[in-house]
Amino acid sequence: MDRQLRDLLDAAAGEPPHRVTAETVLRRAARRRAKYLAGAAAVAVIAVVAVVAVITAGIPAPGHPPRPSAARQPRATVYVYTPAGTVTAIDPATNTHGKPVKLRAGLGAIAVTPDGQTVYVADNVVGFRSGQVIPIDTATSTAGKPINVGMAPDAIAITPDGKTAYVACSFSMTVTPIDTATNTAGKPINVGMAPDVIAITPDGKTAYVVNSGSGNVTPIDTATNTAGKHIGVGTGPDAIAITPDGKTAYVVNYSTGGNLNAGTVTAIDTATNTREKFIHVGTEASAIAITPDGETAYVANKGSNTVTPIDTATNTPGTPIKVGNGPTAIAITPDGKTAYVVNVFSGTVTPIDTATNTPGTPIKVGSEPVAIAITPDGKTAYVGDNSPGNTIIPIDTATNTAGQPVNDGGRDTPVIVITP
Amino acid sequence: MSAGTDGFTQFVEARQRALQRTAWLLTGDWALAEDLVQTALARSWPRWERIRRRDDPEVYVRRAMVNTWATWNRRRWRGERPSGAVPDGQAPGDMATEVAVRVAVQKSLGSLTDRQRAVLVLRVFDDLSEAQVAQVLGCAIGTVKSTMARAVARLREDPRISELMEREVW
Repeated sequence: MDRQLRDLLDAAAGEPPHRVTAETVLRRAARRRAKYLAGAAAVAVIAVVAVVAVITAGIPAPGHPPRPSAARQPRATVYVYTPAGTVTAIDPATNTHGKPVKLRAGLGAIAVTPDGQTVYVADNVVGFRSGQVIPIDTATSTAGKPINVGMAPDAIAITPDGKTAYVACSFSMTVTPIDTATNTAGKPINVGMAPDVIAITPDGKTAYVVNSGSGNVTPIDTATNTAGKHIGVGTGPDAIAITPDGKTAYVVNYSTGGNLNAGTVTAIDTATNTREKFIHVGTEASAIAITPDGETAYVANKGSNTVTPIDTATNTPGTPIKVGNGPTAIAITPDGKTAYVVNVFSGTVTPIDTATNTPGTPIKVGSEPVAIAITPDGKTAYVGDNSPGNTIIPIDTATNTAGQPVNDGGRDTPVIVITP
Repeated sequence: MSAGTDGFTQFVEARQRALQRTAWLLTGDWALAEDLVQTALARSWPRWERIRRRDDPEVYVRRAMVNTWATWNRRRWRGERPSGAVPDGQAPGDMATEVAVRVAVQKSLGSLTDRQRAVLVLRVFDDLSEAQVAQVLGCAIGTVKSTMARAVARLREDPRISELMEREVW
């Protein structure tokens, strides 16, 4: 039947009368953007599938009874957002999860306020509407009124004072500030092409927006919500980390100057917003983490199966550290002693001893792990796995062993973030 | 080549015909099909760098296409869905049979729900796996299976289709 049906459909479809060319498509894309910016279009975009987990401090997992009194020790909660539209809270004490909060199916990003009271979920998938950000009250696990933002919200970052959430909207090429007190959106700020990542300096004064499409970074002054001059970086920048002292922002460039085999890192002096010369790392550089003392930045090179340590005092790369296949995410324990590297193609996590920069025995976690986050107490690293029957795998950092997977209730790709 | 468009032109050139044919099976009209493909590609382009690296561009663009089409249908931007389209361009061979096949397939597909139609076209015509179709539609694999079964059953019941199948006219 299928074969026959296929032939029938094939016969019916015939030949398209016109060719679709990239040129017409690009012209149309430019028109779409112009129209959107003029406020005329209400049509939004697409789906990047990702599961995002955020670990917060001091929030009871849904399903648990409310805390009897403030005297009880606050504990972290892991929030997982999946493309099925569920936000699930996992209690690290028991590795059990509460009843998921159901949103419309979608995925964008997730972030939590520093006080742990609200989780913001950016939803960019279904129906090509304008993107939305949904606030979830972590005490009651209830979703608030959606806040309309630009198209394809792909990243959220919240200022250290918790007052503003910045949402990068990839397709509309804007960043929308949200006042977290009122949950209202401010005027969109124009940035570069395909803003996909945001990082805010520890003093909260500047939000750095990485424009992966146009290969530059836009600094936003958070006092005035105005964009500064673009800072050119490499091609396809897709990750950023700021040193704990706030002096340097490191931007990871997937490739450089048209050379796909040349991953680099651009250091930006945040005082002057000027860049320094490229720091050469491995192929397909894709993730970065900085030690809490700010001395070393670790860059995962997905294509060369290595991690490059960068001495932040001199901005020089050290000897690459061999890890598993496809290192794609990295996180460092709060004590700075271990960097955990997620190897997507090997299905493992490699712990790196940061004192000696030597890799430990890989920890088997799943078939396609893509994300990692470590609890504030440093005891557990949660790894998000992308394989069917998706799960979150806890790793005991004392023994470097994987525990029983926790079902996150969703499908598809994880990314993980952490609160202070 | 400007930043962020690596491989985009090549992708469009290589895949535009296949995408348009899929779009025709969804819309039943070449003008709408062309429009749909252009829209889906225009939406994918700003994020191409990321799509190219992280996702399967083919699956991504098809997802954009199906979602756009579903939105069009919901919004009724295009008014009534055309059926029984006039043959486009030069048609070699038996013109009458070709038209009959086109009209029958179009009418029969038109009797399906949007989701059934999308699943059928993606699974049978584009030969995507159940997992890929689920990814495109953002639903569970089980939903793809059950929707597919219902769509096929419905077509099988359609006398226009069963007759063509028996005669294998194409």
